[in-house]
Amino acid sequence: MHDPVLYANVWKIIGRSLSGILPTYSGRVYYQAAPLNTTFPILVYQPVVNQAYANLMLNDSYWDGAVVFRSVATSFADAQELLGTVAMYLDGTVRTITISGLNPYTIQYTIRETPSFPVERLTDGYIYTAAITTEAVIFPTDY
Amino acid sequence: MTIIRGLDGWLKVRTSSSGYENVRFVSSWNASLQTAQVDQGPFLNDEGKIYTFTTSKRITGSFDVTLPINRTDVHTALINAANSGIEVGLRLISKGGYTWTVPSGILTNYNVTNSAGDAVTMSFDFTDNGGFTVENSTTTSSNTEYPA
Repeated sequence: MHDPVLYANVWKIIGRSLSGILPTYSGRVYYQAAPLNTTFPILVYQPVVNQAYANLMLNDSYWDGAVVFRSVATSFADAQELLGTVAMYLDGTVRTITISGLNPYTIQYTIRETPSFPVERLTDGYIYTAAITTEAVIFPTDY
Repeated sequence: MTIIRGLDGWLKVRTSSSGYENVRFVSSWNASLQTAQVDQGPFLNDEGKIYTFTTSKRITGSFDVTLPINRTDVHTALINAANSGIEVGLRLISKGGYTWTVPSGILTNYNVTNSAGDAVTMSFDFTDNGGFTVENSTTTSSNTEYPA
């Protein structure tokens, strides 16, 4: 089904698809940026600029975009270990996302890259980021 | 007047006695008309003219499909039809434009591509077996509209 509403709700769908990761970060999973003075570790997910497409399928809708997952912790080892859990959770698994008021959507992630982020200095120490870039594909589950 | 958006088109197939079903994840379809002509002449006292008329016509084409995970019954039916040579009905629809209906089509060929960096895609070739029709399509957006 051609469903333009999908494109307006991409990040809501992506956010809902991460519900299984919340316990790994004690619920601290954020879109784009974490709140000030947050507790670590955290997971931040964000788009890669200009790497998302409304795929052209006849009479159908299909969003394909790059999503970066940044696992941030007070040690690089912790950041990587937690990111490993995220990677296992995401890679290849097909999930159906049901959000009130929207059609059900299917989402699948494929890990594509491992970008690097600098170590950041806070007033009371350092934080380290381990990250993966995934390709997320979303389409209407059925019609 | 405005133009027809290609992405509003779709493809339907009938692989059993039931009706036409929508094929999901079709990225494109195309159809091509081939005709054959016969020349007659020249005739006596006719200034050497040649006369040409069309003797036959046939439509062939292809469509490209990206396979979804867990498959769909329609995609499975297409593969089975191609492998077994049974006839399928095909409808190539451009919304608000025209619908080419091939009531008895033969899937003459398919290609499947599985690449690690991309999706799994298939392309099917078809030819008509006993004719085709062209009708006006409606402009409403539905997967069940007629041509249904």
